[in-house]
Amino acid sequence: MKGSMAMLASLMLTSLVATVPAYAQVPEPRERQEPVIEPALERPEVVIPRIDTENFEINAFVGLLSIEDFGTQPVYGLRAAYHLSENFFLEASFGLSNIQDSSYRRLGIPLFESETEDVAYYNLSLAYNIFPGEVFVGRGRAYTSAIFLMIGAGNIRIVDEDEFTYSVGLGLRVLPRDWLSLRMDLRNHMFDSDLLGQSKLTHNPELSLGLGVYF
Amino acid sequence: MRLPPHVSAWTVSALLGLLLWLPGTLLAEPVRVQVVEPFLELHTGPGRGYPVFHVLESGDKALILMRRTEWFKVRGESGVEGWVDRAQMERTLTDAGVSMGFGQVLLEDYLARRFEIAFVAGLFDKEASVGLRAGYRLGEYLTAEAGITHVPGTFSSSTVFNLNLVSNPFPDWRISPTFTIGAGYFDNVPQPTLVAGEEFSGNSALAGIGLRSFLSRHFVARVDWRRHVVLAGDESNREYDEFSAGFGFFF
Repeated sequence: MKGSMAMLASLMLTSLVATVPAYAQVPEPRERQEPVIEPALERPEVVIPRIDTENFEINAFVGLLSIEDFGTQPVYGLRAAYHLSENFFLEASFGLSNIQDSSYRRLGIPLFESETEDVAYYNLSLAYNIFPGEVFVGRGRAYTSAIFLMIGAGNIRIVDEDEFTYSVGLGLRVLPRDWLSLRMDLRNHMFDSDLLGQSKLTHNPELSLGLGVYF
Repeated sequence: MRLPPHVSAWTVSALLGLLLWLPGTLLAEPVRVQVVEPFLELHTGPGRGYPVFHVLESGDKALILMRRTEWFKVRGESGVEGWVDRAQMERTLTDAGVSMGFGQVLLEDYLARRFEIAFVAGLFDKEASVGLRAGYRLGEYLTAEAGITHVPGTFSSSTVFNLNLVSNPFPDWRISPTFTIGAGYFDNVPQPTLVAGEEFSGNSALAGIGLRSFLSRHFVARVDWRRHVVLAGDESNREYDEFSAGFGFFF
């Protein structure tokens, strides 16, 4: 009994002594340590995939712009859009057209210096794809499409005079290819016009066809 | 604005030519993924309402051809092509054996988020105004911004160009305040119908406060109040208040 106690005590003592150097030893900084085992692992190179995102749309359009109290003239221009989500997009438009005072001239009251004067407008719009869908061309083709509503603000310059313009619009977009868009837009540009001497709110509809690409 | 029509026509056709050439050049390398969920649903179009017309099963390989907003166009091994939403796309594995992962797709967007463009409309000295803002994020809290505001007013048409620094001390708040200072140029042209109009222009400075709200990851609503001081050259400076609200996006 006594012997076994002594043996246990000596065992405990030796184990205690044996652990002392371990505590005393200061570990080397990690960078100086040799790797104990070189892991035979091939680490796959993780690359964040670069996916082609196509959220920008640019399109060129031609159409007809009717200016209240004056005639209807061809209009053409460019639009650039960014698609924020499947529902919303923002679009900037720039258009060129002209205005003629032929009717007034015929009555002997010319309004402008020359019969045809320049018209240029721009606007910034927010649009909502209210009815996304598909259009069917014949039996075998279905193209993605959307009917959208837009509101915008901008400027129209008629005979060097700037007018602040609100616009509302309705449009149809059809995508025959994922990168190609066909557009039909109907817009009402509203601004206070004083071309006939008195300022009044005018409605100036525009109908246009556009061809665009996504990138 | 005052280009002769034939010059404009040439510009438009040159741009159109450029547009037709663009898509081919911008094709990125398709990314290959493996389906690990029981199935991956292919929709006929990039939107919630488009019907699911095909499913790829667990273990199938697919190529991601492109991304439009939150939708990914994929091609299965059989050649069938369809649109997959982001939530499902994130649960696939890439060739490297890693998940596309919520974190990774979001991180990619976040890292790519350098430029901001915003359309704004508002009141400038009580006249309706419209503006365009382009920002470049210098860091988490600071954005360099170039802005143009056009005020086609009753008596004159003014244009303000500005270079601003926008501080955004709490970028992660749902509605986050901003502080803006800037310098620029103010140009005021009287409307031609006005007889006694006088053109004036000069350097300007501005200070402002605003609010930004992240409606979704790319989409920001913003309102701003800015005070412009125009150094018109004579004894007195002219001061104008501008209130604006608008939408912006990051890319």
